[in-house]
Amino acid sequence: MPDTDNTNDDVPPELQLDLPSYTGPMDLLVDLIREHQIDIFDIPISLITRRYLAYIEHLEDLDLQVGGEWLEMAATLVHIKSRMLLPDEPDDDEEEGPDPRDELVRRLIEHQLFQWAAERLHERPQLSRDFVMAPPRAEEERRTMGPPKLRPATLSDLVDALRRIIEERGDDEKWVYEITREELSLKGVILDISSRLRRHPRMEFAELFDSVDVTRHRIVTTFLALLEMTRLDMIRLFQPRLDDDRPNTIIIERAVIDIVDVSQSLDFPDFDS
Amino acid sequence: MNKPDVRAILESLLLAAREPVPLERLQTVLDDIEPGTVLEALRSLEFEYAGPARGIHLVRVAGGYQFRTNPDFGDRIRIFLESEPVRLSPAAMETLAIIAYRQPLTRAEIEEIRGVNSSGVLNTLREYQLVETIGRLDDIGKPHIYGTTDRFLAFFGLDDLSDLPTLDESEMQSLIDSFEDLPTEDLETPDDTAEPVE
Repeated sequence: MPDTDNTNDDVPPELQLDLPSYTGPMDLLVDLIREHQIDIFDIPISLITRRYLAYIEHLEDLDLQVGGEWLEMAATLVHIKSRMLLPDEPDDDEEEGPDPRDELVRRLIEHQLFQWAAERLHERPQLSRDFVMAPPRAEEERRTMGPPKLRPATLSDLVDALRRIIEERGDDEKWVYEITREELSLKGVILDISSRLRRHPRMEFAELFDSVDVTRHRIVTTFLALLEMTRLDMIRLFQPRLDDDRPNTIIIERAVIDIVDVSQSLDFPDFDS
Repeated sequence: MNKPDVRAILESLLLAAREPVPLERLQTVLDDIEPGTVLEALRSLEFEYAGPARGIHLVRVAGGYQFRTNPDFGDRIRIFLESEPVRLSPAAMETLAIIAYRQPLTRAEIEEIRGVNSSGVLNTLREYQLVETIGRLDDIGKPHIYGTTDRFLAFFGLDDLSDLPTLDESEMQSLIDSFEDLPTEDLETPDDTAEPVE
């Protein structure tokens, strides 16, 4: 509700209202009714309409934009006022017609009911303000703790990672001339990755190239192996969501328990020779 | 297996759970134990994990059981987690209350009650995942029909929508007395039979 301390001496007393506090016309009407200690079921519609219109004019004087909802309510009030002035229809004099104010009163009461409900709801203990669930997990509950979040890696993430391996570890001469040919098959590389993952369900991409020569042949075969294993749902590839100390690391995660058995059962012609 | 053991197992399960665990799920996991014994043990845990002297409370939210911190210590938790709470403006609370009690309903219906444009505040509530689109009305422009989420229940610690605060009898009666001709079912809990048009 508006804070009525915030009055201004330059403004006539009937216009002393705290402008920005009203969320809408209903709010203002409720406040006017409270201020004048009006019985909500017998609203003096002329008084309320006058005060309401004065408020809107005041808004306009202040060059504040008066939203359509304010004008709509003004129209409603004026309409009710005009209907109150009309004599009852002579035909149905035995039964009193509906009070033109009924609909407005219904809306005001409804509005007040929801104000009440909103306040009750607001008083309840609230997640993040008053308590957290165990174990804390949502963003607003824990902002600075927890493992780095992972997102699925895309094909271009994988290509980037391969490119970095080439830049960091590739032996230039071998890369260009590739004199020696390793005994390296697609199935062999898949088996190799699988046996590493059997021991450690998660590993970093760069570990695949530890203690081996980084040759073009190995790069291509590893790339194909990872694609094939992803396609077969044997592994999942992730990237940390936050770029911290190790930017764009690819994390390979085992997706099946018996990964070595699965890779041994794979059947495709050897890539080599 | 005696009751203290069942309680201990339940404590472990609930601590390990990532979201509210329905009773049936606990009874399925403890399939070697009488369902009645599980329920009894849960009730006793619920009684024990409550009140100002406990830092951990066991509550029934969104149709399941869950451990949460004692709401009395919200301030310290926030300092500890260095977290900012979700702050809902009065307009957001008002809109949320309207959706909670009147769902399912459209934006136009919300605005009719509030008397002001509500698209901004609706977006905020959707961002916080407190309300969601639960269908589209088969009408011009296919307006969204809104309802509250399970997260809404968890957020306010409600077991289900019937847990929403209601006017007590005397409050309701005074409204009825003073205004006989007006509909007074305004704050009834939502009618489950009202199906939105998909």
